[in-house]
Amino acid sequence: MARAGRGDRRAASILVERHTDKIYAVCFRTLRSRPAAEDAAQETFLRLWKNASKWRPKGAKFETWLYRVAMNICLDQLRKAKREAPEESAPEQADEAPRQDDQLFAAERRLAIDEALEALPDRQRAAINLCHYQELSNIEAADIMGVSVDALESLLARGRRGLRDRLIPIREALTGRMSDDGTAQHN
Amino acid sequence: MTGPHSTTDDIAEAKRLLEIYGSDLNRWPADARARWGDIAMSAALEKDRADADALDGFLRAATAPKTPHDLKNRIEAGYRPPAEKAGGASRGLAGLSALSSWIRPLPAGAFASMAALGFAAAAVVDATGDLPPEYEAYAYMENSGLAAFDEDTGATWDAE
Repeated sequence: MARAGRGDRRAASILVERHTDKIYAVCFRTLRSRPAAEDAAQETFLRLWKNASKWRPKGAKFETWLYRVAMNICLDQLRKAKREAPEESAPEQADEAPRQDDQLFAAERRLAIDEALEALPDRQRAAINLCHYQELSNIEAADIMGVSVDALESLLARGRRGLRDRLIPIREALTGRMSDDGTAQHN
Repeated sequence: MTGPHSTTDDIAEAKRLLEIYGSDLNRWPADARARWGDIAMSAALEKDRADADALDGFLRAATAPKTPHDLKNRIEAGYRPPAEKAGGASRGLAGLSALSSWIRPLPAGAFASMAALGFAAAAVVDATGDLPPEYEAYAYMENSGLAAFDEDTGATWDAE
C-alpha cells in the first residue's frame, strides 16, 4: 500500500489482483446487481488510490479498511437508490448457466434464496455478507460496519431469522435434491 | 454434550449462538466455541442445529458472484501515481512556467536582452548567494532527483 502510494504501479497491480475478487463479491452480495457492484468496486479502489499516499501501516488493518470503504459505498448507493426509486426490482442473476434439468432446479433454488437475501434489510444482509461469505470475524465485521459486536450479533440473528422464516417453510422443495455443498443432486 | 454442568443459561446461550453464527462451529468466535460448542452439538439442541444447518446450506447455495473478467483492468487503469495527479510540482514550478509562457512569443532580438538580464541576475546571485524561491525549489529538485512534491502532505515521490 505504501509503495502504491509512492507511485509504484506494480504494487498497485498487486493490490488489485489480491483484493478485487473479495471487494467485488462483497459489493455484489450487498447490492445484488452486477453493474452496481462493478461501479462500487471501482469507486472503492479510486478512494484507495486517493488515500494511498497517506496510508500508515499502524492502526486499522488494510483489508478491514478497504471493506469498510466498500461497504459504505454500497450502503450509500442503496440509500440513494431507495430515495430515487422506491419500487422493488428483481435480483439479478450473476450467471447465465445453461438451463438443463438439475441446472434448472439449481437456478430456481438459487433464485429463491437470492430473493430471500434481497428481502432482508440492507444492514442485516451486510452483516451476513461479511461474516458468512467473507468469513470475517465478528470483531472485524463489527468494525467495518461501525457497530459494536453486540449490535452485529443482533443484525446477524435477525437476518438469519428472516431468512429462516422465509426459507424453512419451503425447505422440502428447496432441498429435495441439494447436497451439502449446495449443488443439485438426483434422488 | 449437555452434562451436569450445563445450566439452562448455557443451553440458551448455545441456542443463541447457533442462531447467530450457524451450525459450523468453525464460524463461531473461539471463546464461544470453547465454552458452548459442546452444548450446541448436544441432543438438547438437535432441532436448532438442524435448522441452523439448513440455513447454512441455503446460504451456500446462493448465487456466487463472479468477478467480471475486465474489472481488474478497469480498476488498474484508474490508478494514478501521485506524481501524475499531484499539483505540487507544477505549483512549485509555476513561476518558471509563467516565465517560459511569456518568453516564447518574444522575437529573437529580445533574447539578447534577456541574456543580458540573466548575466545581471547571476551577478547579483553570486554577490548575495540567494536565489528567488522558485529557482531554489527547482534547483533542489534538479539536484536531488525528486520529481514531485505534494505541498498538502509534504510527501515526495520518486520519478517513475
